[in-house]
Amino acid sequence: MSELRKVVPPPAVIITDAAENADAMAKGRRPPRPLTPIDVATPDDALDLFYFLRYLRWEIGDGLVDDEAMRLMVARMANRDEGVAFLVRGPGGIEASLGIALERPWWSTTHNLRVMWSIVAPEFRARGGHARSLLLRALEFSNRVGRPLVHAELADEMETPKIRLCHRVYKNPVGVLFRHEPDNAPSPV
Amino acid sequence: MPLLPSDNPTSPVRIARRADENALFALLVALSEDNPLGLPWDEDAVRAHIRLGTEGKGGLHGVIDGRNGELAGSVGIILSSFWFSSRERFLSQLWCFVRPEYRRGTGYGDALRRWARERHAEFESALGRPIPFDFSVMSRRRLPDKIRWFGRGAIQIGAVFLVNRT
Repeated sequence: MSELRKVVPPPAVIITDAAENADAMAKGRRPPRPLTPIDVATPDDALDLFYFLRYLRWEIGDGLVDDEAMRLMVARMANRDEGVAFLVRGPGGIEASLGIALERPWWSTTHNLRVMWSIVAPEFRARGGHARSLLLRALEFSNRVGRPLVHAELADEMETPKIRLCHRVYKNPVGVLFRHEPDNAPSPV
Repeated sequence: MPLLPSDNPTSPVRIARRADENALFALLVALSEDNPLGLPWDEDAVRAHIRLGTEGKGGLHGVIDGRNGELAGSVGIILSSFWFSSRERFLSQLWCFVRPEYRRGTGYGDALRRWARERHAEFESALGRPIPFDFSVMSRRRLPDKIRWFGRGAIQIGAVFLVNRT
């Protein structure tokens, strides 16, 4: 996988939402919000990205996040070492981010891409556009690298806004994540 | 951290041993043919995960004997790490599969699920604290049926999307 040791995206590609706008207009719906400019994180962003993710750690791993592991992953992404982090920058700093890492499923030696996080800071959610722009950027990145992209989005049901957004961008889900209930729960069998 | 080996004489499920490795590999080949997920199947990678259980190196796999030396079904569990934590671990169910010809009227699927839940309870008891036990159900065939079956006794914690699959 030497060609994938460093996942270095080529210069930014403009992702347009012209097709979505045309589709919405044809169906008499309001067109989606304009796409947000997306940057690729560099080593200079590592500290800001670390604190951004740390601030939102409850949305990544129910607060189980620890600084050491987070710092390592962010450094890896910012250095584009088998991964890449996309950012939405604002006047006050990072407003949203999506991280993608190369991974191998347990049954294979072939790599795919996995979305490790996809987060918009709460204060920028209502304004819209960031999350969809990040997902479209991830999709475009997968197309360009030519690898499958897996995005496992945590949610306790299928009708959360984030799952609905993934549905619109990626189309149908291919699976569900489950957690076994504790053994003192009623037995299903 | 070895998982706790424990056999229940009332269950058709027993713990996979080293002698089961080839039969278990054959069963997982059948799983890959029954439910292909796109990326190429690699024998060394699969055998390494089988050995995590059969050699007691962070895995515990349950198997059900079938006819003529083959295995009818299996559930595979390993201890995994979250990328966002160097301390917190969780149990991950890699597979839970019964060969199609052993599915009708055997109750093997339920037995595998019950066995996995019992091992989870034992592990938590030994650890003295709760530990998540997660799995994903991904399929190109009969996904809604599988989600219904696997969802019994489990709570949904997310959805999986896949693009550009091969």
